[in-house]
Amino acid sequence: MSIIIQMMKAITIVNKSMPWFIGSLIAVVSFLLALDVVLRYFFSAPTVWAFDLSTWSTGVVAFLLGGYALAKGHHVRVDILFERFSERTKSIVDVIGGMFLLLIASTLVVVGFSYVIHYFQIGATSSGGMEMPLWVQWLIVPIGGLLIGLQGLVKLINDIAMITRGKPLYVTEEE
Amino acid sequence: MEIWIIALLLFLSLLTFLLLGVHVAFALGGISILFGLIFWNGLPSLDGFVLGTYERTTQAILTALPLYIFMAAVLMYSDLADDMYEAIYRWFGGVKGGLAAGTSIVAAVFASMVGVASVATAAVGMVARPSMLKRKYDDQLTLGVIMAGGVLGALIPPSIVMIVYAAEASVSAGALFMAGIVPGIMACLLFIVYSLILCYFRPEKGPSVEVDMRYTLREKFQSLKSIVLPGLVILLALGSIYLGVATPTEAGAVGAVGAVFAAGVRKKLTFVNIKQIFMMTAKLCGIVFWILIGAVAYARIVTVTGTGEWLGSMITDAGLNRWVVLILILLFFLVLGMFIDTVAVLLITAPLFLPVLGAFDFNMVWFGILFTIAVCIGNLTPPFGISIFIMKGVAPDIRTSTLYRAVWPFVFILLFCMILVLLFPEIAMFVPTQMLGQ
Amino acid sequence: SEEEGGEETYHLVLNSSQHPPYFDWEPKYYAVEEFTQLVEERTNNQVTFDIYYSNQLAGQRESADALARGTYDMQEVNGAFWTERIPELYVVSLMFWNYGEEHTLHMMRNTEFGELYEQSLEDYGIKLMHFWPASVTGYMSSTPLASMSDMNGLIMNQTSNLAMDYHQQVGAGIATMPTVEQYEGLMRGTLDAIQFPFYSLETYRYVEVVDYISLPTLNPAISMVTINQDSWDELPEDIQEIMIETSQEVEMKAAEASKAMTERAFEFANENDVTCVAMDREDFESMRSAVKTHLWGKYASINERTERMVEVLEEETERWLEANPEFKQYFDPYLTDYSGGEEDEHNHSDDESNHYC
Ligand code: NA
Ligand code: NA
Repeated sequence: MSIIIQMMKAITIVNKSMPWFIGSLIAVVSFLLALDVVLRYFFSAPTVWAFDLSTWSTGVVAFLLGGYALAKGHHVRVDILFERFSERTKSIVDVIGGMFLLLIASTLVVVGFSYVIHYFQIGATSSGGMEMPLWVQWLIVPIGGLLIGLQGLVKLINDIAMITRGKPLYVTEEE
Repeated sequence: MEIWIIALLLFLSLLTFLLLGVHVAFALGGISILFGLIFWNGLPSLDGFVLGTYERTTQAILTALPLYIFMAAVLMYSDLADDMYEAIYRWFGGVKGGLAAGTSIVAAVFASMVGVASVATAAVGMVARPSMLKRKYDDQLTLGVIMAGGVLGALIPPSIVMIVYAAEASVSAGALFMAGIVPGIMACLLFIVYSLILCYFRPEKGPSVEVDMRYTLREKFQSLKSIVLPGLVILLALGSIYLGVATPTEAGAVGAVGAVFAAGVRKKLTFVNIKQIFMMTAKLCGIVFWILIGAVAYARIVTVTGTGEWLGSMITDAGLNRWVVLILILLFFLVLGMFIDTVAVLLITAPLFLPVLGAFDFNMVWFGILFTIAVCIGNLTPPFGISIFIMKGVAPDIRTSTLYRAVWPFVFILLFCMILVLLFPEIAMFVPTQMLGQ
Repeated sequence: SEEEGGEETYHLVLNSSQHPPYFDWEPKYYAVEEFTQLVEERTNNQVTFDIYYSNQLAGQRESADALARGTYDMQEVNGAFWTERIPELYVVSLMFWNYGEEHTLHMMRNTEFGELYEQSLEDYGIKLMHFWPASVTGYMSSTPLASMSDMNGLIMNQTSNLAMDYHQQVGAGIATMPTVEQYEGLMRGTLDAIQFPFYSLETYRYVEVVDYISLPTLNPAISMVTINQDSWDELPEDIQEIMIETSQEVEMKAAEASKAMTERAFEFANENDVTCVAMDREDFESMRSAVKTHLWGKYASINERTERMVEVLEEETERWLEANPEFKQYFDPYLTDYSGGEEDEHNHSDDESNHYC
């Protein structure tokens, strides 16, 4: 049992560290894009990769933060009925949501990874200016799926523990 | 299977799972994958889901989202935003509801910068709500004003929604931009009037500063100092767009760098603040993007199962009077807009509706404005209103029912605007007629 | 496919990267609407189609994979969007590669050049059905572009790695902007010039935000309609034949429509005070040779197939120009020393002056 709790803890810690990575990424991209504007407007010599980098970074931001938002309990729900449910019923609803999530996450992991391999094999390259291999760009899909999927499993285990034992195995949502 | 059964299953399943309280992003995505497997080609539909997810999140127009959210987080955690509110409060705090009126303007200005509604709602929601609550404003009014102001981004140029419509209908995006100005300002003014009237009759919703507590002129002018920095940041972003220095997306980056600089000048870039800024940015981006991932998948399923087209063809095939057709089409956008992004509804039905409207000789720029107002409303209406969910992300402590109640007055005001533009096309067409002679 | 009354029926889903056609004389209309209608008629509805415009089922880049993996059956797209995955397709964006609709279709349909193009699609599990020429494409700008030196310091929208290389060589700055933001970019001056089909003056109303067009660089731009290889192989031979015949037929109609669209674009520009800037012949030649060095050269260096395609392109174009000498003056109406074309034989347009710029 304790090894499961250790795993749950590890997954949660990884996801909760994401803001440092993503926050820095957004700050750097902001700086590069602003610099690009200056270079273009005043020197007619913009970089060719800043924009491409910024669109891909948006994908990085999107995919890699799903697990974080889940670890912190941020994902949004309509709580009109939910808030009146007992803790056990709430967990049952979240098991349904967890099944949906596992479907989404496993699709992202399996299909996303098949594209990573495919792009690696054909040597596809992004055309926007960075000339980055497409397989590297696409890594965010299976990784993002894995991050939110594993966090989904953590939550699922907790919800099942709630239903069967009346309390979660490992509390994730505090700081 | 009969198409009406698929349509019913599709909408009812979403409604059921949302109402039960399944996370919005997972309900949308999960239903889409299941329906895809059953009604769209089986396993290859999973490729459709994954490719669509990657496309959506790396789409150039969404690049603005993390940038503006980051900028707003910096403004908020460096107290720059609250200082600005303090100034607004000192000047307009004497009027009941004055701060709500001020927020409508702030939201509309923010919204005017970017063409994507979710960006403005997230950014303004983050900075405005704490400041208004601190000054004893009613939460429901606060939420309504922020969400409503945020959706005006589609109506006040520049607007991605208008550009998409322009390409579908082959009308000038420039003419649409011009036609949106007056209705956009009109809607914003109506929001202000509503807030002022509401607070006049029910002062507890937006209390004024008590007479003996009023700020002196000296204190008022003092507060203006604190407006300089945040004001410059916003001017920098807005100015770079309007002077043609930067695209609206890049302006988000310019604003973010400006905000970081301003926070540095104020010596607010402490470890604790940076951590808060990063966490707030990560939280909102995580929430918004995963809802968008689900929403785009759901819209694609509505498209590929033929549900949207089937519903739309009931209107065009009925052989009705041109005004009846026009109103039914608008109602169609409003009703489907309750469930999916109204722009997706346009793409599904464009080949059906636009030629019919053209053949009836309606002015397509004018109709574009009616459509854009429908998009604004769709962002607000339950059960699936992207603004509601973003607001819930900004402030998780709020109940969904409060958010639902908060949007209704503004939905009605926007409906009223739509009716005005419908009855008096000049409201929209005056500016483009003068400027372009169209 | 499903059984119905003994005869198998086939339902094909087509995703288009473009918005729906506005008029029934547009090349896109023939390529998509007329094609599907004719096939339905000619097979007595044994084959039916569902058409989704505006990238509703997959984005323009990702559509290569959605099609190849059978998410749907057919795709209308400009090959330029698939070049990340199938770099050979960049050839349709190589500036000055073609001399009008006849030459374009000759190269694609009758030479090894076209075979190699189709092979690159086949390697990806995609079969080419037909091309549709989309009228001329060239620079549209807020300042006159009469020579390469006029490009120095201009901000241009960036479309691909290859074009970017060339534009940097001539000193232009690059602003990457999604197509939907181009209008606004031109309006506010964030962009000075774009390379885009001239019909967009009318359809996208670029007439309101540009003042000049100049010598077209793609003559014409071409898009294509494609089908998933497995979906194709599943069709019985008689239906395949009907579809191939129909493809050939609409391709010819689209080519004629493309010419008409070019004419209309120049007329529309003229009526709306968008000036076509004539280019000095020497400037044009030096521009074309710079394009060949930087653009064609880089394309040829991608892989063995692209290298061969450039070789064939040069050889076959020369051969074709020998056989059709009137096209040697193809670019003349856009040049300053053009005299009006009394003795000019090539039939660019029916009106007497023939002078575009
Ligand atoms: Na806007
Ligand atoms: Na809605």
